[in-house]
Amino acid sequence: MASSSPPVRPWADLQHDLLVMIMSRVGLPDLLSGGATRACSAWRASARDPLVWRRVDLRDWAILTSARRRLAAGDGEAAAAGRGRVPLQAALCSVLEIVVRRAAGRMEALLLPEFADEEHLLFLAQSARGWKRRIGTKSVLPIAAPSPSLQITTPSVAN
Amino acid sequence: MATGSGAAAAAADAEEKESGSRMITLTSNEGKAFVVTEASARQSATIRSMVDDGGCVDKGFPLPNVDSKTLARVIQYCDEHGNKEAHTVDERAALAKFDKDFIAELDADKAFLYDVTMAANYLHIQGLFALTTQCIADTIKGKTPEEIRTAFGIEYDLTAQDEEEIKEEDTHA
Repeated sequence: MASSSPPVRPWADLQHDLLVMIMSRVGLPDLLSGGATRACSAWRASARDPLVWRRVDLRDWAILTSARRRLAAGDGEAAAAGRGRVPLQAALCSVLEIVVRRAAGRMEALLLPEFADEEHLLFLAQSARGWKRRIGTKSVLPIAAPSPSLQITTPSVAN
Repeated sequence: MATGSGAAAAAADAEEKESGSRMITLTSNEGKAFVVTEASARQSATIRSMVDDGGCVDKGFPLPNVDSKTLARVIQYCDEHGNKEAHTVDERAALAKFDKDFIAELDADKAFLYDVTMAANYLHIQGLFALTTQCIADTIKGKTPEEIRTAFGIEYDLTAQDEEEIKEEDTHA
C-alpha cells in the first residue's frame, strides 16, 4: 500500500556503466548471439562495449556452440543449417574476428580452445600489433586502460 | 621505541573498538530513520568514506535516493556481512546461505531487485552489488530477445540499422 512507485522499473534506462557490469557477468555464449544483445538498443550498446570484451575465455567451445545453435534456432532455417556445418577452424576464426572487433584494442586476456592453430594465432598476433601501433601513435590511453601487452594462452600453456 | 609503538597500537585498537560500537543513523527518502552499527554501515564505501572523512556521524546520513523498503533490505544485508564474523568454515557457509536466500527473494521480485541494485550501486556496497548484478545476468542467460523483454518489461526499440547488423552477425558467425 505504501508502494507509490510503478511496478515496472526502467530496466532499459539503466546507466550504461551499470549495464556494462551486468553484461560482463552474462557470459560469452549469450554475448555472441544471445538475447541480451538484441533486447533493446541500450542493452545492445552495453553488450557491445569494449569493456565487456576485455577477458574472453573460448576454452569451453562445446558450450559456446550449443548455446549459439539453441539461440539461433528461431532466427531462420538457412542460417541455422549453414551454421551447423561450419568447420571448427573456420568457426573459431569468425568468433575471434567478432571478439577482437568488440574488444577494440582493450583486450587483456584471451583463452583459446585446444584446437586453435597457427592461423588463429597469426590473426591474433596481427590484431595485437595493430592495437599497439594505435596506442603508440595517439599516445592516448583511456583511464581504465589495461597494459597494451596481450596475453594469449592456449590450454597446453595454461594448464 | 618499542613500547611507544605498542602503546600507539593499543590506542588505535581501542579507537577501533570504540568506533565499532558506534551507532549510525541512515535516513530514507521518506524520512524514516534506521539506526545501524558502524560495522554494518561500513559495508557501504560511500558511508565509510564520509565517516572516515570526519563526516557528521552524530547527525546521521540522509539517503535521498533510497526508499524505506529498499533501505531496510539493504541494511539486512549489511548487518549480516558487517556484524557477523566470517572466519570459520561454518561462518562462511552461513553467510553464503544467507546470500543465496537473500538473492532468491529478490529474484522473485524484479522491481525490488532493481531498487536494491540501484541502492547498492549508489552506496557502493561491493558484495551486494556483485550479488544483484550476477542475479540479473543469470536472468538474461539463455533467453531470446523476446523472453528478455518480457522478463524485464523492456520495449523493443532497435533501429533498422541495428536489425541490419544483426542479420549480418547471423550470417557471418
